[in-house]
Amino acid sequence: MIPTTIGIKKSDAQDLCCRQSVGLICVLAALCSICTVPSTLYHDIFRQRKQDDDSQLIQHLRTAFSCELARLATKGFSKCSALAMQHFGDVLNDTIVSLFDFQSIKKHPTSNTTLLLKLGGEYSRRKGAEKLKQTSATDANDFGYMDQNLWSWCEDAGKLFRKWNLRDGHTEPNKKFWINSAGRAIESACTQIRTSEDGDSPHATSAEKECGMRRELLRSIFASMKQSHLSFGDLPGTHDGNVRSIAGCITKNVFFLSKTVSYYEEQLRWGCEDDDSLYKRAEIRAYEEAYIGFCASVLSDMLRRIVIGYMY
Amino acid sequence: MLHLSVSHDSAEKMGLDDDTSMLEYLMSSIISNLSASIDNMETLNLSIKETRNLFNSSKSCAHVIKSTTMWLGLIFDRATFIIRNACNSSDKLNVWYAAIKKLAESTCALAIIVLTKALGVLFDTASTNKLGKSLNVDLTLDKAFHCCLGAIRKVVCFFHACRECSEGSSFADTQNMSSVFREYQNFMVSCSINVVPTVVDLTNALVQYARHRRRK
Repeated sequence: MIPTTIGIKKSDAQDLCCRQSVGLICVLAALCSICTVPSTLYHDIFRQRKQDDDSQLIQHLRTAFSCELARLATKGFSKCSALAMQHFGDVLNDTIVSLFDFQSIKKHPTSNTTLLLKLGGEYSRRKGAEKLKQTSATDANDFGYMDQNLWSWCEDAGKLFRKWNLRDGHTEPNKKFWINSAGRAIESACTQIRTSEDGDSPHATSAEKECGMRRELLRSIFASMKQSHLSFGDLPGTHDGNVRSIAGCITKNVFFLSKTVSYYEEQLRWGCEDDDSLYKRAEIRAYEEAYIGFCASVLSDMLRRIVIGYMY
Repeated sequence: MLHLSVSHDSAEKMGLDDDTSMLEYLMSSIISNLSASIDNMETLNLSIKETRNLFNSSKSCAHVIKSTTMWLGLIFDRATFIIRNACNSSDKLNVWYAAIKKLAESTCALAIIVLTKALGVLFDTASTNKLGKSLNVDLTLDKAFHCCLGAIRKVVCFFHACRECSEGSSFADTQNMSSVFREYQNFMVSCSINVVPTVVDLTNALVQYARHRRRK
């Protein structure tokens, strides 16, 4: 199930829709395979309403829709394929945004036992190690919806972009080249990650490892731009689809993370010094370290490319 | 029924071998039943008195919607299975093939529209029914909602299976699918307005929680 934002009490009907949101989105994607869909679909369904500009759920729903659309497109449903390519910018943007999603990274246990020991003591270190061991043994299906589907989605998107051709909507050959090379880059990065994991599924076993895998994939996408001297800004159909969008996404995630960290810090100031509270505080700090490192690395890579001048 | 009939090859015994419309009639009655339950639920949602009778009737309606959509899902799933097999082989299944094709030509769009309506009425029950909260204590509405979504997916799968098996013919043109999508899109837009909590909401909630803890 798509995680809804915690701690907010909405009406019962809204809660019902939130709980069933993945099903609603999957049915929407399925209907796209048999119906003629308006070209403004993304805007109509996923537009930000009123003051919900920073809403996380809408982004999660968009992401789930793009994921399902790419899946159906690679299964050979021509209408889905046409729709996905028509909204190529949106799908690519959602892929990148989901790679930055802190919530899905947080589903993996941290392997930073040094920090756990330093901030939470021996109890935290032991609990962290146990959690890591348990997760290594569990099936990937235990994770949430997007986490389960993220890597297969990336591969689907890669396949889709690789096969993209000029008939699908755009007319400039260098953009076709870029989209094809981005597709190849995504696909080969996913394959590499899978090979290095020595398994069929590229699910990481720790948050730090997951961050590393996501960083590699993002770097591959950016590197493919270099080959064609193109940017996100050049691509038609992108919804706010450029560096600004990525920076905005990172900011939102970091904002959410910082709020969570400050909550646990405040808890400590109130005097919650039992083992579990210390462990939770240490854990969130470990996530913070991993996530900030990941974002800083990707951002510096992006900025370097902006300075060189083939991305903006 | 489809399963039994096909697995025992008893179409002839049942006297259905020359009637390719029988599945269509069967489905019509099930869809009518679902529509009637939806209408009942709509009326109950407008009721202003919180009575035991309202609770029982609403609960029954929700259960009927759930079980009917489960049946629909099951039948469409079975039909998909049969048509995929019949597509590749044997004369034995020809009657079933014709019956199922006829069913597909007439009821796919209708079924999706009615199921979308069912989703809408369940959403309304949770929001406007005086006893909506109590009704969903055991997740009755959630389960019914889930079954409706599942049934729509089965109909879509069935539609694809029929289209694959009718290559060259104008199967897809017989369905009014644009109105189907419009219905579903309208439902999604109407139910998602203001659903989304914002980061500001989240911050406020955390602040409130912190205050609550401090008071404790």
